[in-house]
Amino acid sequence: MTESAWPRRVAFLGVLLLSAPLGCAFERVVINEGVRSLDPGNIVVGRTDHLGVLRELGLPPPEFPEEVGTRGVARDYLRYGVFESRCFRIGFEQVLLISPFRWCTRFRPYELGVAFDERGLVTGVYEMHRDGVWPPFRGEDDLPPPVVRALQGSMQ
Amino acid sequence: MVLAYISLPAMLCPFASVVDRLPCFNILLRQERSACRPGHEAGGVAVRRSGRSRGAFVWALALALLAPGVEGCLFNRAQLNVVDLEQRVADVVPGKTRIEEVERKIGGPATSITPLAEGKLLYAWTFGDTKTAGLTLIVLNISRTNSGIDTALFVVDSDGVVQSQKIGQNSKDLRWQWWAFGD
Repeated sequence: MTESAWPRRVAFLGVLLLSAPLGCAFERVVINEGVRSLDPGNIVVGRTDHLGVLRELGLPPPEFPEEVGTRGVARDYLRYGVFESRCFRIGFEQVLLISPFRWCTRFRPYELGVAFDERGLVTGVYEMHRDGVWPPFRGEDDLPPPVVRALQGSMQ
Repeated sequence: MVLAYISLPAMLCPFASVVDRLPCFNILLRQERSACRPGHEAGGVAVRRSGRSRGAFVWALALALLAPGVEGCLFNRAQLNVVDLEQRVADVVPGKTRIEEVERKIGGPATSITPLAEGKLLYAWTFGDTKTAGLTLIVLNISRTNSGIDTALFVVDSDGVVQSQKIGQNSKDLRWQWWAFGD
C-alpha cells in the first residue's frame, strides 16, 4: 500500500468505528406477571372481608422495588397489577454519548381489583386488560380502550 | 461473531506462527498477514515494511474495538431481600408458631406491620427477583426484563401466634427471556 492510500483507509476506519456503537434498542420490562394467575374464585361479594381477601390473594405486590415498605394496605380497594414498560431508543452509549432519541411507554396490561365498602366487605371483583404499543412506531391513540369486566359484584 | 473471530487472531498478529494456523485470518487478512513478519517479506524497503506494519496494527486495533459492539449476550439478575423466604418458613404451623420464631427464621424484621381489628397484626416481608436477558448487536439490541416482587404476610393474633400466612408466587420460577415482542 502506498502512503497516499493512508488517508482513505483511516477515514474508512474512522467511519466504521463511529458507526459501530450506533444502534437501536427494544427494551421491555414486565413486572409481576404472576398476578395473572391469581384466582379470586373463593371471594364472595358481601361476605368476604378485607382480611379474607388478603388471606386468599396475599398483599398487592409493589410495582417497583423502590416502593417496598412505602405504602400501607388500602382499605377500600386492593389492586393487583402487572406493570409493563416498553422503550425504543437509538443510542451511542458505547461511546458514552447519551442521545435524546428515546421513546417509552408504561402501562398496566392486566389488573385485578377488589373493592370494599365502609364495613370492609367486598363489593366487587374486577379484571382489566389493556394492550400495549411500541412507540414511536405506534401511538397510544391507536390503542383500543381497556377491557374491564366484573368477575363478581356490580361495576357501579 | 465473525468479526470477533477475526479480531482475536488479529490481536495475536505478533505471534505469527499461531496466527498462520487460523484460516479465517489467512483468508480475510491475507494482505496484512505478511506485514506481521517483515523479516520474511520479499520486499526489502524499510519504509514500505513500516507502512504495512502500521496498517496491520490499525486493522487489528479497529477490529478489536469493533468486536465487542458486534455481538453479545446480556444476562443480569437482581434479587431483593430473602429470595428463599418460602423455604425458610416452610415449617411454620398456623396456631402454634410465634411471630418471633418467624422473624428468626427469615433473618430480619418485617418490612411493615399493620394493625388489624381485635388486636391482630399483619406482618409483611417483601422479597423478589429480577432477570434480564438480551441480545446486543451493532444495529439492534433486544432485551427483556422479568421481575417478580412478592409479599409474605402473616396474620398474628394478640398473643403473638401466627394465625395464617400467605406467600406470594410472582418471583417463583421467573423465566429468562430475551425476546421482547409478543405476549
